[in-house]
Amino acid sequence: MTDVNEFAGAPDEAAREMAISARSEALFNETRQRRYERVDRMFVYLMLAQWVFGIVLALCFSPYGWSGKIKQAHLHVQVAVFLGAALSLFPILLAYLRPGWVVTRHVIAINQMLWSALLIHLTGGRIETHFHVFGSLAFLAFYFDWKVILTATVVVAGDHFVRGIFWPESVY
Amino acid sequence: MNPHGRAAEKPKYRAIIFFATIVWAATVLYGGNLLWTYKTTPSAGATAPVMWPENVPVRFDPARANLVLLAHPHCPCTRASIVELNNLSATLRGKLAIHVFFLRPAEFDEEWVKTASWDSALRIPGATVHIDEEGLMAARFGAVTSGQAVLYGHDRELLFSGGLTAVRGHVGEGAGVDRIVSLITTGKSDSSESFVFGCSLLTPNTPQQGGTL
Repeated sequence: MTDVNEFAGAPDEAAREMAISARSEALFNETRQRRYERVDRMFVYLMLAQWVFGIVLALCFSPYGWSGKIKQAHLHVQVAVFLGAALSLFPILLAYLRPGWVVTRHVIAINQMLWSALLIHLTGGRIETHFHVFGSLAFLAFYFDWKVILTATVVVAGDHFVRGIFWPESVY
Repeated sequence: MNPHGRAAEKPKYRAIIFFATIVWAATVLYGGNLLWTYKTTPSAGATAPVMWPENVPVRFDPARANLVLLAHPHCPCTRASIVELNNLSATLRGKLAIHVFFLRPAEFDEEWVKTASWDSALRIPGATVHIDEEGLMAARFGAVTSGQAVLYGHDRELLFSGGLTAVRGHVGEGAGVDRIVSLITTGKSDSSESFVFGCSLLTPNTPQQGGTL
């Protein structure tokens, strides 16, 4: 026989559980949002460091192009400065204006992968520089958002796919 | 604060973000295209003599093929050519006599020539590294671009003239190396040329006069 007492206070129990569940979800969302904003700030510093590193790399590896005894600034230096500026400053701007926004972290993922591509070009395709891709994925994993990893992966896969068609020696 | 924990959207940021996106996309597309064009546009190839030149101050080895690489010591792209030459030497294992000539214009001393590329070339097994005084060897082999390779068979006939890299300044397999290996190991190849990527060995005077070594 069912004990009525078993259901005594049941509506209050359900309401308390719902309240706990809602509060848990709110706390989770807050924590997740703070994580997004914190990782965005981390990438601000990383993007700046990469920009400086790219310029230093270009100045060390390929500062000049030569024609006989005449030298002129190498294209790599200009690319490191201006293209590097675009790859760094745009995500930094978004991280400053809209920290934690979903678009911000996807833009960061795209630009981080483009930085890998640029650094690989600046170092003449060195195998060691390719590890920047894997390191970048590790940093992006700090978001705990699988879609960000997917975005980064699509960028790299797309780059290899396009170059595999138009410039296969650069891939294989 | 809205349900997603964000501050209410500020319309003024939309305009900034939109404008920044346009600038970013334009810069990435333009810069990427510039880099792509630079990397894939070959430099001028050599008009190499069909027979090994007589007045070359290096000993021609009649027992094997002889490969000559003409290089600018400060050309960043030539580093990749030196790496590929090293790989070629390892692949062909003694079947090539290799000579690397580094340009030295009269205005510079020998120390100017001895760069990292020079050091790398010295470490290639079987390679002899020379200074090309005022580009005389480059002129004799008809080379105008750093990274130009010319291959002569044991009968002194020209077998191949071209570069060793697939694109400018990048290591990795390319048509030039594949063709040289094929020529040495099978005696034939689909082509006797490949694109050359590198700095000019010529010092420009005027457009009408062309360049000088």
